[in-house]
Amino acid sequence: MAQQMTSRERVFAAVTMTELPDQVPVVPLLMTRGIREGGVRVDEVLLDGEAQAHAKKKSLDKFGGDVIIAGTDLFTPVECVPGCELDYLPYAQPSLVTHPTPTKEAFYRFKEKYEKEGFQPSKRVRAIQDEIRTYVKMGLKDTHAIPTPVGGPITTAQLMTGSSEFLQLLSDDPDYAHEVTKLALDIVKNVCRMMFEAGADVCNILDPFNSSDILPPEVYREHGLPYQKELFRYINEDLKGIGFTHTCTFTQPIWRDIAGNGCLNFNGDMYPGMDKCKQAIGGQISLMGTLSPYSTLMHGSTDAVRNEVKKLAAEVGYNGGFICMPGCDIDWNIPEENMHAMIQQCAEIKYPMDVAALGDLSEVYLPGHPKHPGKRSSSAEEDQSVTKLKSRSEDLSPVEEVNQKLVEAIMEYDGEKAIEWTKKGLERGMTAQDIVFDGLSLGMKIVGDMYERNERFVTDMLKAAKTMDKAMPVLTPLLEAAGDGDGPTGTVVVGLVRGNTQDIGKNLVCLMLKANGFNVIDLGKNVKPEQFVETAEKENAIAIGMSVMTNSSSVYVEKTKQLLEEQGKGDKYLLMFGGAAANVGLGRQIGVEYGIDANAAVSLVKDHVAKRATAA
Amino acid sequence: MAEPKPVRIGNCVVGGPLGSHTGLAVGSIFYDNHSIVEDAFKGSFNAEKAAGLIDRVNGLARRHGIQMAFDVIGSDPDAFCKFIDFTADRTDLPLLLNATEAEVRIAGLEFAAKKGILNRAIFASLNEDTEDEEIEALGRHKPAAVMILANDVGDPTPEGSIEMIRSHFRPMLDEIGCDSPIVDLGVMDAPSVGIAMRGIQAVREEFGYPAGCAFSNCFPQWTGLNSLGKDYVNLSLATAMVCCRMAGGDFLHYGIIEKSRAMAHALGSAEVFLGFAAMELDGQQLPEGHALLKMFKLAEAKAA
Repeated sequence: MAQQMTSRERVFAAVTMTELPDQVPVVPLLMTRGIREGGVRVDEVLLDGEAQAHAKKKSLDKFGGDVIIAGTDLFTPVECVPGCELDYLPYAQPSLVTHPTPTKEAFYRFKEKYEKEGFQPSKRVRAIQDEIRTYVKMGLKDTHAIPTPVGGPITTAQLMTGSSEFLQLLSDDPDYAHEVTKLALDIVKNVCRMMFEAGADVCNILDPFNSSDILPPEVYREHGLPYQKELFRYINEDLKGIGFTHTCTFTQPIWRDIAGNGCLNFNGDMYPGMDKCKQAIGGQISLMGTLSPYSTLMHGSTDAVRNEVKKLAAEVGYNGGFICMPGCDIDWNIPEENMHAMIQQCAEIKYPMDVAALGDLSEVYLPGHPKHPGKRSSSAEEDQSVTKLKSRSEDLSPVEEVNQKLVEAIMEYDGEKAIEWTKKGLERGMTAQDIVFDGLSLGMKIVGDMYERNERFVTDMLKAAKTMDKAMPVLTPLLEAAGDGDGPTGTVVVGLVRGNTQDIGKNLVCLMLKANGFNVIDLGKNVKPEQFVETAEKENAIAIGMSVMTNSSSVYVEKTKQLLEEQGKGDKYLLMFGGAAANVGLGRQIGVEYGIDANAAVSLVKDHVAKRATAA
Repeated sequence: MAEPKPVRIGNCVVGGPLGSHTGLAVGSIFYDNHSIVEDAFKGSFNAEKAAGLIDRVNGLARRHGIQMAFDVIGSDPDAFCKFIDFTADRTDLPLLLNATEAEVRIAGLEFAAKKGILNRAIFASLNEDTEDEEIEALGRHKPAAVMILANDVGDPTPEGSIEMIRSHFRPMLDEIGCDSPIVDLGVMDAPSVGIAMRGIQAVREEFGYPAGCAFSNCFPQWTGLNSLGKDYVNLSLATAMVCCRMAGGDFLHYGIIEKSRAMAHALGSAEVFLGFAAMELDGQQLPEGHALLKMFKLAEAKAA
């Protein structure tokens, strides 16, 4: 049984997924309501960080919870652009009244000024710094995590120009949209820097504009994701801080993109269901997610609140990478007893989690769950580019049907079916790579997830892997032939660290690296740190890839890194790892790159080669 | 059905007709994270605590009338030799020479030869990754028993294990000159203990070799059980041990040596049933000090 942790330890354990927390951590999101609970009006303290801190501290004392949040909203970066006007409201988050750069002329005037004078923080950014410093003075940093919300790059760009104007720009003048977002990114970076300088632990990058209700996934991938990646790189590497991503409502098509943007936690509404999000990306980064703010938290009984917490904990929190929260900034009218019920219930669910003891949760309401679709539907429902994922088979496109059948084949351990639908996929024009990653690997991921929930067992994992193996001979020659020989070349040393036996993921990594023109030395299973290093030296390799299946075997990744450092070769190779026990947080802790799958491994090596070429 | 091929290891006999000898209860000592180990690579440890644990097992084996052994684990050649030396000096019971790396296993084997304890040493174990150097070392120094890990990840069924012994291990064993190995069926998680039990039966029937498994391996992953507390973990461990024994398991690895007290009691109880039936129905002569005679006098032994 885990020892009693401080709130701070609990939150960091859940966020980084390097160990189990002692109990389910909870973030009550006491921002504007926190100020009011402290007995003051929001608009009166937004420019007085110390007063804001004291008000929220009273609220923390009243309700509890594992973090104390500095700031209240996402407007801080846009507020640093001259001409921006906010209305500070008595009992709510501020409201944006005037967009500062609604026209090209206004934007270029600002850009010129910005380039000449540099970043000029607004009074409120300085007030939030004071708020953070006050928490540090109070000693709260010893016991609690201190996050702060900061508007994300594309959302700030949209706030600079105006929402509909920005959407128009994305289609009519994408180069200009990029220019605005690039400048917005620089402002956001500066705000983050100031937050970490003041003592914040986390910048939660609120980027609701990326929701698939607003932007089709491919537009997000072009106009949102690259800027998020650069922002999180800056936060992680230059500021040595922690970044989270917050995006609201329907985000399913971009879950895997978000998981790979460099943040350590994804939080938001997660339609169509947080359990599905967990299945898709939960092993890679931690999740923070919500009770349904209105159906349950506002109008439900305390039992309904407790049950929904239990359901989330069982479905999403079983492996520790989960933090509970109540929707967005909580409403004034949410009854206190429901707030208490949520916070207390989280404290009562201990790790390791006894899911069975939580009771029958099959009928519990969850927003977006197929059983409980609720009143809300996606505004992009008819947009094919947005709603790619369907639930009914008759709605499926030929390609979606192939993926679904491949997932079924893996879950049913039906090798013949896997072969049949692999061939059909090829007939329908899918690439071998699509079949591996969108169909077969997804099935493996789902079985792996069920394993983590104690719903399937090791023998099931092996059967699933064998099923995938049956289909691979059809695809392997195609994957190998895909290497055109023009790409970056170099040698990559790959192997399973000591104590590991399951090598299907490692074999895929080898295959995909070969398919991309790399020379691969496959050291096989049970590889010692010395072997990785010796082989890399002997073969003049550019990268070392390590596969880890169990948490205990992750130490060998660390040992490999230490060994290289001891030999003064700390930066000589790209060190990357993947596998069941690996995730972004652990990678950052050890100081090696993490790749979620074989494709990611290839990207890591390619990026590394490109960086080295630039440096040379 | 093959003839049983019991293997003598020091004063113990592993295998043979069910109940003729007790199962061999094995507990691990000196593993990387063992509380008595200060530095697994330097070989430094708390000698007083280690001696206490070894004495405890010696006493339990005597009092409960069961066969017990030490699974001595090493991560570094020199450290491993220190661990073996220390353990061998304090017990007459069998020692498993166990390490994840071939280099360390070989060092342990050579040390056991030098110390003159090969007659009670079990080489643990030959596996899929066994290297030529190990086969050569085993040719030079013959321990009392060689264990094989007959768990085919690609086919984790009893049939898979049988095939693996036949095609993979048998040639290796012939090279060493080992007629009867001890077969570890391998356990991947708690549910697969059941598959290992079937594997134990299949191996005994097909080859007559002593067989068993480390049913304890998967218990740390059984998180729901752990949250119920130590007593429940021990109950489930004891259940696994008795189930494996009843399926014919001769080699019963119960995990960390600190669990020896509860496990000795569970195994001793099972041996009473098995031993009496073997004596009455099969006409077996039970060895001296068997559990059948010891378990009913436990209270007296404790008082003494």
